[in-house]
Amino acid sequence: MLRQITGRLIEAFAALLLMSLVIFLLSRVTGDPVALLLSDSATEADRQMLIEQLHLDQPMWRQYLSFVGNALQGDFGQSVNAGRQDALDLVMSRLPASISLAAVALAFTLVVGIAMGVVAAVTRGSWIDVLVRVIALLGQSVPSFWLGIVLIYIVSVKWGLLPTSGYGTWQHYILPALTLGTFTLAAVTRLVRASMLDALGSEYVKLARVKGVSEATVIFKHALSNSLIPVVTFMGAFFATMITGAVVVETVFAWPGIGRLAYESIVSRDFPVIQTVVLVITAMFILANFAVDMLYLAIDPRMRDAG
Amino acid sequence: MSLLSVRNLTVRLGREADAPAILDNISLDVDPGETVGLVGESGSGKSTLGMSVLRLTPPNLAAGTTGEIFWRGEDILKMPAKSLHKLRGGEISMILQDPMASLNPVFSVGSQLKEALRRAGKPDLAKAAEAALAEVNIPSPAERLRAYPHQMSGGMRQRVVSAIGLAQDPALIICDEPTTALDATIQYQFLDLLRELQRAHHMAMLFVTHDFGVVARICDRVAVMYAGRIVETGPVREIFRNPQHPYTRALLAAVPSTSHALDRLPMIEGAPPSVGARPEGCAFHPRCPLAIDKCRMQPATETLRPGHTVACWRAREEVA
Repeated sequence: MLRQITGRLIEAFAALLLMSLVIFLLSRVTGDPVALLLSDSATEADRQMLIEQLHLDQPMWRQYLSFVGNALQGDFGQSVNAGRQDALDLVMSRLPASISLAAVALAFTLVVGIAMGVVAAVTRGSWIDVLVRVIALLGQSVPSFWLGIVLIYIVSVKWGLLPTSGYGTWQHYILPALTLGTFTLAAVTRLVRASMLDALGSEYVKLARVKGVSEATVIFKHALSNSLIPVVTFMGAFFATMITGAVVVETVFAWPGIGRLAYESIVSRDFPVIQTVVLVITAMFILANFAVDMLYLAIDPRMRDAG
Repeated sequence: MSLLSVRNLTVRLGREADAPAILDNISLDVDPGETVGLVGESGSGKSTLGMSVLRLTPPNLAAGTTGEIFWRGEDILKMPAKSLHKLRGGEISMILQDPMASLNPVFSVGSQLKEALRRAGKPDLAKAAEAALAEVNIPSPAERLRAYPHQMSGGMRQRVVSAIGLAQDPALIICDEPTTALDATIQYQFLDLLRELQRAHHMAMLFVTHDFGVVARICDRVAVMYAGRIVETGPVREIFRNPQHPYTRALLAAVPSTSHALDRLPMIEGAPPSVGARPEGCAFHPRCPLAIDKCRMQPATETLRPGHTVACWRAREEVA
């Protein structure tokens, strides 16, 4: 087990390193950073000075090494926008808003999705099952920018129940979390329904019933514990959906997270910030997948013995 | 009084009276301490019979179930849910066919065993669990309790399943082809173990199998099933010595024997009919070497000798 954990850690580190190379190369092929940084009135001397300052006269591999070296020291450069804010500080200041929104959305998704999936599987073929399946299908088909705008229009503008946008109180979380979680909610529901049906038809559930244990124990202990394994497997993917979804949802709801920061910095061609956002998101991904692997080891005893 | 007494049990694929029948008018008794074999090819309905006794058939089959299943005089099919939960595991238990699939992969063997022991009200669960594993000949039971199913071999898992089945001291245990998934050498070990356990616990056993070799080894009486009906029943000795139904004879001929070696074992031509497409009359007649025109009508079940019944137009005839 310790061997598996260290293995996953090494993989995680390698993935991060590889991603830094991709980001570095992408930032070099998408244009000359010097042209971007200099004002229109800069002279050739200014240009040479900046090239030397940024070590752009050195070979690519040395540039990459110093990029990694600086990154390891927390130096990702400055935003090119007015204010010249430190890129990492900027991203980090936006991170809590994104993480808290994603956490609320993920919790909502898991609780409601698992409940709906279990109910649908247990009442298979009934009108409840049909209703849940229709909701799940709609949830996966509705684009989030549309859902967000419609929710704002109905719940906030027409009914005046919740704030239209912004960040601050718990009421601000409800609509963005609902919008961000809808797609994943539908996916979790369908996944749990399918794996619950599998489990309920399995021999070990038959054996549990033969033992005479209550139907609640059969459903929630024997069937559900096995049905959650695929959900955990997909958690990494769900997290990815949340992060990519955040770019749209945070923009619609004016949520001050890294999703909106990514959108803003792309619009204003703020390369250091884009690089930092991408690298931070990558690190979050890798961390999430590592957490999923650990969770997987905890809930599935077969994984602990596998190589 | 019989322990279990199945009367005119018919199980259809749905509530409609003309829905295809998986079990057709089955009557069968099991006495205390007795082992009854239920023999037939796949699709003959023998597993459905086992599940019906515990009322664990899927909803569409449960809706299409008619007849009576008496347990100590009380009809299981009319039992309230509470008594049914007591019956399952406590009075009637079951060993399932596939040991690789019948244990829950995410719980330890001990926790699954204790779940059954707890229902039996054992005071010291850890001790009882250890004793239960020791009884089915599992070495170092204390350590094995912490193991997960995937860490055990098929034979070992089937012993665990038996220990779970016996945990609540049932009066009847239904074994649904418990040896089919095991290696030949392990099969016989396991059958011997079952017989020992049966004696120790004074249980009756309903043994579902397709293998007459297994029947000879473990059963007192046998019921031969074909296409949802019982075609012949009798004491095992009697059936082996004097089989009357052509299907029984064909099954017996297909048992490999060491006393007279054959190049090839005889086989029954054709395949058993599927549930929706059972022929009129005796369902075996299209495959039967002795079939006559009359076989297109259902023969009555007649008693040849006390305890030996057969449903065949050509029984009692001297057939060369």
